[in-house]
Amino acid sequence: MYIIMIGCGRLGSVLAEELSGLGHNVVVIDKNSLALDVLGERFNGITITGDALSLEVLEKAGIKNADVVCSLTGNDNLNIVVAQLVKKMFDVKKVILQIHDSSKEEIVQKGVKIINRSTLFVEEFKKCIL
Amino acid sequence: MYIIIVGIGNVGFFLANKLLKDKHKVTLIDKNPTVCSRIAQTSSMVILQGDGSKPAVLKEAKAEKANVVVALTQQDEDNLVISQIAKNIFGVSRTIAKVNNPQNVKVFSALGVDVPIDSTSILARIVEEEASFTDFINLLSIKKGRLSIVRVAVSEKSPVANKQIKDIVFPQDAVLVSILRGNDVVIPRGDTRVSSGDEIIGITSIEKEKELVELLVGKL
Repeated sequence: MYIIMIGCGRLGSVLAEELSGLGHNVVVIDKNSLALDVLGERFNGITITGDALSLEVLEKAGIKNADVVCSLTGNDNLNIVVAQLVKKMFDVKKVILQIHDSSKEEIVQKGVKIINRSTLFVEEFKKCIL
Repeated sequence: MYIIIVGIGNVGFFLANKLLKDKHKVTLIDKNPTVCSRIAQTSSMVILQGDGSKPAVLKEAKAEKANVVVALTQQDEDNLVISQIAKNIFGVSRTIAKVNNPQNVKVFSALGVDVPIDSTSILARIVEEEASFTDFINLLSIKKGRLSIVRVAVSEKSPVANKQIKDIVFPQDAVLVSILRGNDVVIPRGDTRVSSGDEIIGITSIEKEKELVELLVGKL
């Protein structure tokens, strides 16, 4: 599969390495070139330094051929906007975004998968505590 | 009208003042506590300190009663989310947002912002026009630049110099408004003769602007 990962933080970098190791085509975008340096030997995909909100950057990442886009930056608003953009303008099959603030879930259009980090952690902690 | 402005920069503050003078109700929202307290000390505006891209903050500002929400922050993603929350959660009928990166204009339209304002491009276009040629001046742009009122100086070399109005074929969607001759304003009729030194005021659609200028000034 052709997968575009937006945001190369702790989650994005590990996910990119794993998927790349499984033989998928992975492109990682981050606005900070230093963040992209953490990708280790297992990663043999492409890295792009740039703002994912820019159509130019998305096109350079091959958005037209992408099967999956994961929006995983630490910025909720950026994740929401980029995810909606790639769904609406490029009709990417699978769009997944990470979010912290559940009150913003409502504005995300249908067909975009939302993973709420806070809710997820709360559930895990609850399982451990109770 | 009730207007919410998110992001108090120079534009936000100036706009709020103007709207208040026109008897509109205005609430300002900004993340930065220092900016908020400074404005609170010097004016009697309604200010809310908080992240305007959070539904709870917009709710506190009574966004459901707002006629217009204006997003003027420095971040394009924030302006987009503010507009979407205003529209989709609070049913605000008109959203206006500042586009910080001119390349993002298309993104704003795609994501449902009613009026994206790309101030960088607007400014750049004005400077370009002023700098390029002096025979032609864009006086006013209406409808976000789709229609303009222009002033063109007629020189001896102009293709229309010494012609009567009835013999000049204007492009469609372009009309002659008046001719400035010295201190006089001449209302053009069919038999009015254009002469060098005249200044022509016309209205044109943006698509026909170049055609009109070529007709009046000659090939650029």
